[in-house]
Amino acid sequence: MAYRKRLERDLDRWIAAGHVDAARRAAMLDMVKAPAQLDAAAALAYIGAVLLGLACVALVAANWDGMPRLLRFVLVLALFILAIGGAAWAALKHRPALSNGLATVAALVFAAAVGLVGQIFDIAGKPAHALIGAGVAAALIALAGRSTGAAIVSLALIGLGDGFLLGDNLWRLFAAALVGVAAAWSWRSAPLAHAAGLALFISVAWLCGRSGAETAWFLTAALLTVGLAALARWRGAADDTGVFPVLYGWAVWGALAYLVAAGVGADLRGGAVIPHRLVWLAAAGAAVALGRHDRHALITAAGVLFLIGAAMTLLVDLGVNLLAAAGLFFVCALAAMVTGLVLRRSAGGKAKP
Amino acid sequence: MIQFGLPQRLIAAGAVCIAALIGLVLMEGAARAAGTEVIVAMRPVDPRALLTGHYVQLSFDDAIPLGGACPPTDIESGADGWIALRKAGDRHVVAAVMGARAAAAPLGDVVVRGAATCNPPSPPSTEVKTGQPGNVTMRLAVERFHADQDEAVALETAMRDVPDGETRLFAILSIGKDGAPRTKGLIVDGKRVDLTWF
Repeated sequence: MAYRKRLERDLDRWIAAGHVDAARRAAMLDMVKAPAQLDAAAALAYIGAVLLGLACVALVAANWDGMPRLLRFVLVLALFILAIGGAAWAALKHRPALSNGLATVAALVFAAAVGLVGQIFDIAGKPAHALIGAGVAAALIALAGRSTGAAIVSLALIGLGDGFLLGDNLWRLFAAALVGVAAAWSWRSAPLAHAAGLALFISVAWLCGRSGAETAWFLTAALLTVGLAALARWRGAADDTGVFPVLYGWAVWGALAYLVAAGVGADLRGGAVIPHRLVWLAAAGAAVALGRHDRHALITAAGVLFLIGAAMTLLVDLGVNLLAAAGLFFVCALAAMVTGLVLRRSAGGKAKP
Repeated sequence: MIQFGLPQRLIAAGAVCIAALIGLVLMEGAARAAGTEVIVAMRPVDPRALLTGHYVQLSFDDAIPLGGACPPTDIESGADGWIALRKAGDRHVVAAVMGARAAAAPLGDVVVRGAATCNPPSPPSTEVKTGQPGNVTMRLAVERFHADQDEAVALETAMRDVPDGETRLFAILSIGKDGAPRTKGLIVDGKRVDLTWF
């Protein structure tokens, strides 16, 4: 339901209860912008523009083979110029959403252009290098035009080039993720914070995984990430941009994942396995409680997922010894219920005048 | 002092991207023109497998006649190294495969980065009375040659029904000073298809 609709319903309820003066209803609602409505003429214009674009694409595709290579190259460049020129025009007209969208299109068109130019002129090279080159170009467009969309495209391209094709080199993604976090903070962009947080989470996991002493590094990363989560949570309380709550969520995902990874490597053996699983179970339970307390869906989801993972791993570790598993889960359930009871009593005590 | 707003910065970023793309094409074109041209044999396998999406999969394969031997090497079969190519008639054949460029260079006319595998010829035996020729296969950084639809169909037709042992398909490569290969074109059934701007 849209915010205005919810507010109308709530206002009626508050007026009926006598909390709000009925005469102020209209003035209060006027302060909330009605969502933009697309009229029929505008909708038809958009449809016409899309169809015109499709007709152009089909015309070019039908004649692509017959075109000289130079003409194909010029067409690819023209498409990029159109997108980047449109983004600049929109920025000039103070239409940031349109400028952001067109800059994103320009970044994607450039990535396609790199691939097409390689095909048109038979330029040999590794696909990973093309992806990273296109990612760097997208980053340039993003920084020049403060485009969060182009920044997300850049992170995706660098991540693809680094991770999936080069295989063992995610340093570039790590550096790009740090720049992405700074840009998300500066531009107050929650979507970019999501992309940068995810990229940071993946690249740090790679850094720990290649260290040679996985358990120690993953535990260190887990502790550092808990610290980052606490910092982002504290900073997010006094921030209305939505960036810090997103980073807080990804930091909790990272902390849980690194904690789990610390115990699945070759370093952890024998008696240390079960304590690790118990810490994992407790951390996942704590994440569920934290997610519910802070009304943070990303953290609750992480907690639930890692809780299921911990239960399944424990069963495997105990050799599906159901009696031992039942005893262990009973102890955990008791601990969870006692903690919940203590928290409820503590909250009840605070609520009393 | 000149102030650069978002529109100017976007235009500047776009100009840098376009310059980089044009620069890449020009530099590759110059390197292709400046390199040493070599013509190497290709294996005419099933044409339907060769031509997918209007490109020719380049598979560099040369026969070793009975009595011949695999080229000398100091690295494992299939490992990346330097391939020395020696001119034999109107084409080039593998002369040696070495781990270091300095070791490969004296053994051929031109050296190229890549890997090679060799199957030596089988001498006549009770099972195969006439014996069986061997082959040496190169793996280079160039893997495909993009062709227009008409070119691709013509190449496919020319490659069909090639008699055993006859080579009718050749790749024209340009080998740079750094040993990097670049595609220049193909020769199919004596017809040369060059990569041009048009």
